[in-house]
Amino acid sequence: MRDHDPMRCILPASLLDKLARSDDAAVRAAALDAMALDNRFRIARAESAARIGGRTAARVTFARIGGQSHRTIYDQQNGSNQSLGTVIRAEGQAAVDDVAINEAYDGLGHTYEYYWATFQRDSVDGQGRSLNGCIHFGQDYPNAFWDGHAMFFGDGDGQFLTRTTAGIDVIGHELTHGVTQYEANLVYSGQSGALNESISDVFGIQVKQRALGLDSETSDWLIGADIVGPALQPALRSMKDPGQANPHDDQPADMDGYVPGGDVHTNSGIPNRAFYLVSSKLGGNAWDAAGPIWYATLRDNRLNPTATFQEFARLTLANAQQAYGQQGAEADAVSAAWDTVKVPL
Amino acid sequence: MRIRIRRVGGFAGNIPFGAELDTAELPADQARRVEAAVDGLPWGAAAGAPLHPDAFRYEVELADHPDRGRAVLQEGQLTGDLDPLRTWLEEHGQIG
Repeated sequence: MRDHDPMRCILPASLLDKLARSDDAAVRAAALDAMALDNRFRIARAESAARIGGRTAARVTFARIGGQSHRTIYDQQNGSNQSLGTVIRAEGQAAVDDVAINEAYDGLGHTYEYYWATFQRDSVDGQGRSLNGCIHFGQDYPNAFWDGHAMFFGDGDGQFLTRTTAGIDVIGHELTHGVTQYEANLVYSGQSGALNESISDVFGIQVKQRALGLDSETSDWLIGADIVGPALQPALRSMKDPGQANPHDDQPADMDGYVPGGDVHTNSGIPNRAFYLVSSKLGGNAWDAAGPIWYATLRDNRLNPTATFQEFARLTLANAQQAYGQQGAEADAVSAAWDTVKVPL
Repeated sequence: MRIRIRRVGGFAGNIPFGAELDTAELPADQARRVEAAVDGLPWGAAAGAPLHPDAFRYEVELADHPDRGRAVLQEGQLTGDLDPLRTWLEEHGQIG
């Protein structure tokens, strides 16, 4: 049987086609509506089928000891192909004379170390998955991304972004997309998409803070400060002051500025600021309590792939109460933070 | 044909970046190919999800035909006859 049998629909596709050409404007409009709706279902089905990840994606194969990263750096030689390029530095090998190779190797290591030392999480999947970093991707490519399997680094165009391997927070951000893929697997649009982005900034900044010995007070809470070109100084985003990182930064600082249909990197400013507020209120290192609360929420089975800001916020409070007590300073800080960014609990 | 193109998404997805290309500025045969390819874009169709987190997407609009709405392309789809749009954006794109 074919995948799509028109006999099993209420209206066969051929009749809809005919109705869409009707002389009667109302009939025509109704048929076009039905076809548009059908198209949206098709897109939703295709998106759902194309998704990878989720909590069942990491299979436990054997008992692991963990604590050891398995990094490989590949040279993409300015190609835009997403298959792995030439191996140029493998785990344990000495530094080489290309700064991008060494930065990528070290950044993957800082990220592994953050997750292992803080949560005893063994790599992005919790099962010791190899960390592949693909450098010199594309021609002056002003971007970096995690494609579900490996991290790709562009060299930057020099104006917008510079060498993307230079940002420890950038590497932590991208690999955290991998962690999210294996945990809540947040859908990459709307509020769940902005949460997906925010979680990458939240853990990306902690990877940088831990690597450089910065606490909640000494950190600048800027994202992308080490990879912005002259046009975007001093940084791409500010977790402390969303919208103020550079003259073009369009992030809102609370729900009053929420942008309906906005980019996932725009509305992520709201939950980013909530994390900053919790961390700075509690003081010390971001990963003492704020980080673990967010991590427990990301792993919480009640966090749906389509979670809203409010659903996420409520789960951070539940996890803060469970770990640190109903009346603890941690739960108070979480409540106050979401109140400040105007996400009602 | 005046074509507005915006690059959205990417790690720096909170920073808008765009350009306008008037095909009159291209060699005539290239302009014809670009116009034909742009004409065949999925105008008004719902934008699918990005291919992966922090992927770029491109939003295309026609300055003289706002009624056609917008066409959204995934990263990697600005190739072939649409390649001049990508090069134009890279060379003339403005932040903001």
